[in-house]
Amino acid sequence: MTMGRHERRGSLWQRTWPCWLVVIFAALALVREMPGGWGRAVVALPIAILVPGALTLGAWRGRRRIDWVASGFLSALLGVLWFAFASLILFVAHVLITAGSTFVCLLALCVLLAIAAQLRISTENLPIEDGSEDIPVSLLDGSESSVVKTVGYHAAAVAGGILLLVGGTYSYVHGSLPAPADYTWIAWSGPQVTGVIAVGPAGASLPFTIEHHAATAGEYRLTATWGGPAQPHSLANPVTLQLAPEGTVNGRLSIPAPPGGCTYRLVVTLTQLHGAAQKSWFINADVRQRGARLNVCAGRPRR
Amino acid sequence: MIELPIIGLLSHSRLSGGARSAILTLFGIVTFLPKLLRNPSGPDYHDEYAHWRAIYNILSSGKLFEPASIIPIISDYPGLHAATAAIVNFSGLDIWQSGTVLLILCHLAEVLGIAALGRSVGLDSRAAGIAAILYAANSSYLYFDTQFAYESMAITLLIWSLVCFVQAIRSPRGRRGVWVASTVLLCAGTIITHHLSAFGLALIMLLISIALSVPPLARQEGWKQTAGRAWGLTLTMITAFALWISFVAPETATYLFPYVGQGLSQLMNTAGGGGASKTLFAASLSPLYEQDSSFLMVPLMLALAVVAAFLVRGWLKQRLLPDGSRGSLLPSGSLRATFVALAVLGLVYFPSTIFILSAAGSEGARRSWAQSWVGLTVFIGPAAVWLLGWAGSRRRLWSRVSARAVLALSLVVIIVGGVAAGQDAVYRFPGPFWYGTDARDETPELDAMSQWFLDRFGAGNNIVTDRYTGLIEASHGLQNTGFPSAGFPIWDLYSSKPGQPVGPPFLLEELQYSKFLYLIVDERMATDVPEVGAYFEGVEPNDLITSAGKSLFAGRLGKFNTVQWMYKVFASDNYAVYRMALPAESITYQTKAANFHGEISVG
Repeated sequence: MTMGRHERRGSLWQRTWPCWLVVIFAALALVREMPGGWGRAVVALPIAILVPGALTLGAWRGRRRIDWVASGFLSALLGVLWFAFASLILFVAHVLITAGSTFVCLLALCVLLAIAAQLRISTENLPIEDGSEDIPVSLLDGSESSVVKTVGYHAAAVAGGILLLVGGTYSYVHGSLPAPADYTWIAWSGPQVTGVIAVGPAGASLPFTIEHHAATAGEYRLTATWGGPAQPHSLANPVTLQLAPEGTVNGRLSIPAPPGGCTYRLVVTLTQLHGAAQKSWFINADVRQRGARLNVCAGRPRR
Repeated sequence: MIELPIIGLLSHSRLSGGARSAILTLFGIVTFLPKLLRNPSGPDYHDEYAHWRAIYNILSSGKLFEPASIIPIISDYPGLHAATAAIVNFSGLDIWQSGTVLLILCHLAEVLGIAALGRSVGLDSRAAGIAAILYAANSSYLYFDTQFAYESMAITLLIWSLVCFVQAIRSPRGRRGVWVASTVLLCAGTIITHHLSAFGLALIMLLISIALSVPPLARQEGWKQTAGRAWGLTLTMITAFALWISFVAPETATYLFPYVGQGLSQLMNTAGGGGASKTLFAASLSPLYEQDSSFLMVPLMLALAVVAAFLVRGWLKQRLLPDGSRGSLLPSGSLRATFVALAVLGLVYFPSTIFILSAAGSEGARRSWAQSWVGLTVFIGPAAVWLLGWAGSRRRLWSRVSARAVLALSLVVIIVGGVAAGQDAVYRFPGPFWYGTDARDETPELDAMSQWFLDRFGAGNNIVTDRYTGLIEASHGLQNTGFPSAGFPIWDLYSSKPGQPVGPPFLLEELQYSKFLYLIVDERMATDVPEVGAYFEGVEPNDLITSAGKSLFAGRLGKFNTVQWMYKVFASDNYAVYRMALPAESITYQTKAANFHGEISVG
């Protein structure tokens, strides 16, 4: 009685497996409700990759013609290719490639392939040309004692391999890595500098940000000048500040309306006070009085 | 260390086919470990950044064929990108994780594909398994073809296309359909994934079709029908590839020909005693034993090929060697034409090694090995089995042990030499920053600058920068970097001398017209010479590195701080970001003393 059920089940599966695979693929709609990550990947990817490939082989009566190792890999590769072909189909159809559209497109392809495979099953008794030997595809050569044992070997190989990859990566990522090199940066943080900044009678405020990425704190000096590197003129009194490890400092350069019609190039410089290198960083911007023309300085006597 | 025991097990003669297949599966997964550990959490090789961005573009725009900044041609070959984007959509993994899953599958399928090809041309399980192991010693297998790039997927598609192709031309009518369909699908997949792989596949299929059309090789097997099927599939493949190039990827020829042309001309120069030759392992970090192994690998493979040639010669004449083992190792029947074609393909490897001496041709030669070794290893697989049998049949223990030790040592040399001939140590191992290496240029400082830029200006800005900064800016930075060329010589901005106008004028017009608003300068360009020999993407003038081996930009980068139409908006230890305000206007600056005082406040 039990054997009979098994046989019926086996027979039902053999007669209708393409339909079942389509149902399994359609169930990915539910899997997509799972939060994204490795858990969903373990459930979704084997189905998403193998089902379209297996149906492709089935559509051309290949499922029972190729040994299971080769057909497994061939199904996987064909499945991956269907991903790419589905995107091309969507592109040609002027449909945006999204999770939803890709799924629907692949489901439609699976249905088409399943119909073809189902039709093939009903004609599977067609005679095969005699006189040609089977050509083996994978390394299976008939010397295996049992299929279960062979499947077990492969499962162990895959599990062992993946365990090694995961373990190796985990120990590498969580191992002692060299500390990254320190660095500091300074940048304008207010309205974007797109050209000469026009300053009205009330003056202007130019905000900037400093970030210090280092394991230790450091003492620095902020200075502001105008006039260029050859003849710098002091614009503001220097400020000394402590930059904490991984610290961020927001600063501000407040200026009055620039005198005369000239354009002034302002430079804000951050200088390391201690340490062997005494590094410095600077940013610059151009300011002029609102209403003054850019080249007015050249022809007009300065007041 | 991990490979040798696996190889020892796999080559055991009493192993069942199933166990051998499982061991090869383990081998395929384990050999992904070195690259996985190289950069487990994100791209690090040059091309990886480009492909990462291509997938990001698909996911963000929902479209294929979006322009690519780093390697423009990749947008015409979206196979890898579309497949990875689908994995992202199905799994919710990020781009890098999804790509890694895909590449592990491809890497595993690659080595099993060689075994399948060996079986398809008639090798027994052991010879096919050993052929697969030997293939894994090719210079691309461990690092190059595990990088997140289109060729890593395409080489697997190429190999399985050949498996299906051989099965399709050989199978009887009732069983042929699945192989024909799979061949067509896999060929199409190769075409949309990678130009060189598609080109190589077309050539290999052509070679096999020609071999199947040579009566002395195939006439006993109804060769006309077999050859007809082979030609049908081959012409389908060639036509499809030609159509793809004509209508989708017309830039392919212009992209590939300069490399081929330069490689050939440099090789001619080298042969004639001229310049442009390449010193092997010049400035390489690889230890001496690796370098020696890579030199020794070629004669060792040649020796194996000679043994294989003697075996094939005897087989072609239908004679057996005295020990009688050869007959069971080699293909029989009509498959010999395919086997001979693969042998010819494999033998191409030896002359191609000469191209390594050419600076422009070496890269192409290396890349061809992943394809030529498909034929080479299937060709010498039976020879390796024969040698194992010969070593095991020595009567005296010391003789047996010595012979096996020599074979094991040769295998070690081939494996080590193969890896060393591929990627340099800088690519293979993580380490401190090294300017101009592609693989060791990403630093926390560069990432911070890129993130600041993205936060401040948003995505999709057109920027001018060097190759190494551009890799980050055009990938994680989500910016569009200009691709330098003779018509868009951005190196001229850098090389202008202080006091001279930054230009040339047509370049400034182009920058303005194309809305290039930002220039990012890595100040080490003035002091350091890039390890890969180029400061920018594409083809740059040779004189950017002086004959004294110094940077042309020394003392020429500070000028950007005084250019009137440039504003330095960001400065870190090594990077400066300039806002370019084009068109340049004539500005007169105040230089004399003036009553202009402000105030700095912090906190």
